[in-house]
Amino acid sequence: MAWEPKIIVIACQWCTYAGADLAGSLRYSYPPTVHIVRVPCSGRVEPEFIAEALIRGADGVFIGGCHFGDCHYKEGNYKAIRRFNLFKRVATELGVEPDRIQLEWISGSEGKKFAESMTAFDAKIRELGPNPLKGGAQ
Amino acid sequence: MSKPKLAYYLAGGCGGCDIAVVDLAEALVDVALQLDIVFWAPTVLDAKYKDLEAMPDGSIDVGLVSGNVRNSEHEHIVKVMRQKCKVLIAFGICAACGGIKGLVNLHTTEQLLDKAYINTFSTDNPEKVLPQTTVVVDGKYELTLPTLMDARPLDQVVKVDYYIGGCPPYHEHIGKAFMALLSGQLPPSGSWITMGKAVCEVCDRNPVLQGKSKKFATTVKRTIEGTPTEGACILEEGYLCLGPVTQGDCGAKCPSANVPCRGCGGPIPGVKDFGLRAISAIAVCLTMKSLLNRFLIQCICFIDMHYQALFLVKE
Amino acid sequence: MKNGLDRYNKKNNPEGGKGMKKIEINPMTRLEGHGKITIFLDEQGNVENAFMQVVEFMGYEKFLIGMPIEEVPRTVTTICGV
Repeated sequence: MAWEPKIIVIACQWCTYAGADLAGSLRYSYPPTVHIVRVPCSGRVEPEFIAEALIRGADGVFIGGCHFGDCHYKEGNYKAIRRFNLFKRVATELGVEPDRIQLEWISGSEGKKFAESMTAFDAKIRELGPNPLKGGAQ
Repeated sequence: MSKPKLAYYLAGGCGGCDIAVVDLAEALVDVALQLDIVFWAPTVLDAKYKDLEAMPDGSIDVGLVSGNVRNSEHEHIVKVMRQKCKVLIAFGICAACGGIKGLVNLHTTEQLLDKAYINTFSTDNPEKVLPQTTVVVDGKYELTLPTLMDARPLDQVVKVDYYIGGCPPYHEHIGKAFMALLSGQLPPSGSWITMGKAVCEVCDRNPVLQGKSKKFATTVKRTIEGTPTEGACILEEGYLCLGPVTQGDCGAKCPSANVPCRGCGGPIPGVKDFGLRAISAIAVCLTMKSLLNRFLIQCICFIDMHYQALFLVKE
Repeated sequence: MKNGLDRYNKKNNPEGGKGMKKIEINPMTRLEGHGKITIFLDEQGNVENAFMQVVEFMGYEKFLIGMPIEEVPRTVTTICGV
């Protein structure tokens, strides 16, 4: 069986998750390799989540949150981008390419953008290949 | 009624934790009178490994192990300790998490031996002699050395009942831990013996405890680039301090001496990976994304200190 | 000296390790870094030779390279805490 990537998307419930719902309503399709995890805010995303996903064999991790100024909890997305930037730097130490992790701001009304981002990310992960840690770490 | 028995083994550590227990000074006399210390090798007593191996299984009430497991001799004796002791405590951050000695895992054994014995400008070793696990001298004297392995914290080799962090643990905290042990008031097995407060909560420099609000750091500095202001939070001034994510059983001794906390107390409860949690906490204490550029160099050193099994952070 | 080192080369002594009677004192008391003393006895039970080995190896020489200088004093104090 040919390799199919497994992509984990951690989506904030107010924006990106709503955007994903909208993509569905508007019939924009995105790859089935995407698995969405809902969090109350992108500021909830700890580097530990991303690392855990990668260690357990996820081929890519995508974090979606509200645009600056739109965060339901005011500052959550600012915290998210700081944590994400720093974590991306140390991602090479885990043994994975930093491109496997991505952060984007997608609002609740951007259903089309959500679908496009997912398709683009899926294509990028396919190009990168399977997670080098798969079956190896732990 | 017989006194509870205590055994203490120093594995791949530095002996600082042993001395921290001795630092109890007068309090140690009271504690020692209530305990029967049957084994403390190699630091304090004359006991030998054979003596430990000869004791009946489960005959020792409390066993303390400090230092990480680095070679096959440590691994063997640590397993013997687990057999002979009812309760085994990982004493000090090396045994609990890996410690500074865990930094050896960033390099292969060959690289470490090469640097130590061959490739240093002051080393005179033209034959490139390296330590071997077995050597026979003059054809009849056989000598052995244990095999070097990756440094591991204690719980990766045997089951651990309790953890005490610190490099070394502060002697007052050790006294409290011993008292809790003797009176049987311990948390559930597998947990850390700690007050449960982070360093920030017990630090005098914490602005929140002084009634002020926290500010974000606007710059990141190395500790050689200035001195923190008297009474001000070290992290706010831009010197990276791991206070927010470290257990504060030491009473925040380092910040009170103008030195940023380096996380030797171990992670606060509920943290799976210390290094990543430190990244998470400190990233939100900085104002601008661009600060992260300088931050990384320092961050790496701290994460290394408390090497966790899952993550290695290299320069 | 090259000649001296040949004593320690197992390849030069193929019948080595004939199982002499020996006493091992392990670990040496109050020595951090773990020392071991091995005493070899002859047939009469007298000491024929004795060796002292330092059993641990740490590796600080390698991993200190690249560390920020202000972290080094704090790190090297963990070579020996006694």
